[in-house]
Amino acid sequence: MPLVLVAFAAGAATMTVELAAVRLLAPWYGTSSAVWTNVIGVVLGALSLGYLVGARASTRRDPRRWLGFALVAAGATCAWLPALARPCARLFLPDGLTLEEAGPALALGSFASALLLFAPSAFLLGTIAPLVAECVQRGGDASAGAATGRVLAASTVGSLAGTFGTTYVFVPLAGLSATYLGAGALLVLLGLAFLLRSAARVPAGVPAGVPAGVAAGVACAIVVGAVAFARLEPPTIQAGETLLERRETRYQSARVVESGVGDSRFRRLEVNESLGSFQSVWQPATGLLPEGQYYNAFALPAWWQPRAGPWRVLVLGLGAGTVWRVIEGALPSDMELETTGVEIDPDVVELGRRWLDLPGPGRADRVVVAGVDGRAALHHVSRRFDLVVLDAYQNQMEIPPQLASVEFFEQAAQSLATDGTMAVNVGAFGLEDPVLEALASTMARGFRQRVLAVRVPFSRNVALFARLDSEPPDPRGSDFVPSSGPLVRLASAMAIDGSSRWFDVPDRAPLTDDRNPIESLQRASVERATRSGP
Amino acid sequence: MISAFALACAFVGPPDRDRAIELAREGRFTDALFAAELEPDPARRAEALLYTRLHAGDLDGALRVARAARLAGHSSAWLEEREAYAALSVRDAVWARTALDALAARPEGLGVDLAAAGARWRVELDALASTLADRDRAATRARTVTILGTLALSAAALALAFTRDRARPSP
Repeated sequence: MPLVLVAFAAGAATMTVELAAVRLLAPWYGTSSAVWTNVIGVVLGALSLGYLVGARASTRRDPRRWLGFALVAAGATCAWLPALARPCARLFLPDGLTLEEAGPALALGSFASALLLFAPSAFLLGTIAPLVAECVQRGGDASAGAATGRVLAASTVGSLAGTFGTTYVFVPLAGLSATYLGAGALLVLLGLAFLLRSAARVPAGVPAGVPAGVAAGVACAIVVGAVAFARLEPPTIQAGETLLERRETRYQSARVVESGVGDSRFRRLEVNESLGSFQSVWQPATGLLPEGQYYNAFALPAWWQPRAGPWRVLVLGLGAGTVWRVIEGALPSDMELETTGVEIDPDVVELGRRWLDLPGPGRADRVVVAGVDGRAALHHVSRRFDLVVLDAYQNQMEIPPQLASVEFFEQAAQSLATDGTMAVNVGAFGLEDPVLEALASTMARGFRQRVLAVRVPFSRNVALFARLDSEPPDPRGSDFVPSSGPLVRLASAMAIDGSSRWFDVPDRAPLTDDRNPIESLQRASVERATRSGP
Repeated sequence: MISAFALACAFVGPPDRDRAIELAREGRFTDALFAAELEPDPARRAEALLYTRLHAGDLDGALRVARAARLAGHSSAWLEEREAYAALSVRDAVWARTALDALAARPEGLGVDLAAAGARWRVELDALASTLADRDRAATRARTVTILGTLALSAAALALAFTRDRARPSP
């Protein structure tokens, strides 16, 4: 067996462990940059220790045998990762916590989980390259430098294959568990081949095939056990809910769950299945959702500017189309919805079409642009809209920086029709939340107009409103609450004293493309929320 | 925004707590707040304000009303029970315990409804406190694993990097 093939496989497996690691932890910790940093840091640290240990082992008498053991052990730890992820994560982040309660534990918990879960695999994979280099060099056909160069080249090409294969092929097509099990099984098989071919001494009286058979049996038991336990962990759903579909998308784990029966059915499209996060919701009828759903706030601007004709809406962060359905069913009777939606995750659009009544392709008044980032899509928008809605979150709690800069808001303002409105959903803990303050001030700077922030009743969401040529109605004025229609109660609740705040145009925008501390602000927001009290 | 109704109320006479509550039930929250502010009795005013804010979905505002009433000595058993409910809704265990302790310490006996509600919120509070205690224990575990794991990895790497390998490579 060519030794460089082993280096290739180890390189590929290393990247599979690393890239899929974040996805494996995502149901508990999300996929924020803090989680990525922790996982990469742990994997690099364990790899470096593995290189050192591999270097030591390579000076021993039979490096091929060590290589065999290292491969089998690396494969075993890799194969067991899906089965161990849930109990390990629960050790550091118990169930039943809300986002603000869990917030401070996310960074530390993800680091500790990465240490327990991924450090062993990365460490063992790190031992392989020095052992392979030693075997190549001892084979007599290469100097130490030449052997190292060949091994590094093969390992790096393997890493490339692992990087692209994991993200674009294995995880989307086979899922996380199968990806880890496959990588683990491959390593175990390679290790077994080395163990069987190595010149292991057999004690007197023991048939020659016994040690190899025992090794093969143990290896098979490891992989079969991993398969069995990985299958024992179905996705957790709440009592009374039904799982309609679950899939691994290029960006996240997504699933659709349903509760209730008949007209009271309610569906949620959840991402990464943790901390109560959901991307879209659905009920059989269009129009306003139950109290506490922030989508309802996006129906207000049409009632502030009632007129006959089309109401043209652009939604950045369409998800499965909840905003469309809410606005469609809550518009004044003489207005008609014409809308375009941008959603970065094509699988979410597919799930929406299948389960949440998102219209399919071919309708000129319901255009879905899938697979494109909202900021990039704005470059290609030629129409002008009466309302632009930004409802884009990533990693359960983060607004992407490119959708939270003054340059973005300037660009969004240009896509508005005369006196058009932009509305933004912000997850915030009150009207003094640091994320809200930075975002609203940035939006005000981008629009050169004051921005209105209104708390959404019964929720932790705040809706921001800005207009291109004027200001949105003042909640204390007479034109904020519609005189009739489905939004009277919601607008009346939003109009009470203490539920809104105006943000003036600042001299400088807090958030720009060049300097955008939105992630640290989000951490500060959660920490601030956990400190509140009587 | 003050509606014609609220203005009329101001001239007809002081609206009471019940009128504010009725307006809040109808979803006319600004009118309800206006009516509540005109209630002369401070405890009943606080009750009307809290009821209105609770029904308008302003849980934080409702808690602020309850705290102000308690600090001013205008609280009531009803107010404390609602305060406990609001605090549990925003999952603030410390605040909920304060309200429930105040409710339990009332010298006058509680009615059946308030006593039952207080008992129900106490059960919820215990569950919430247990969840938060679990979180704190998990955080301690995470901190311990992080420190020990990092130290172990670093120590092993340093030891291997700076000690001589005594094993002799085979020819």
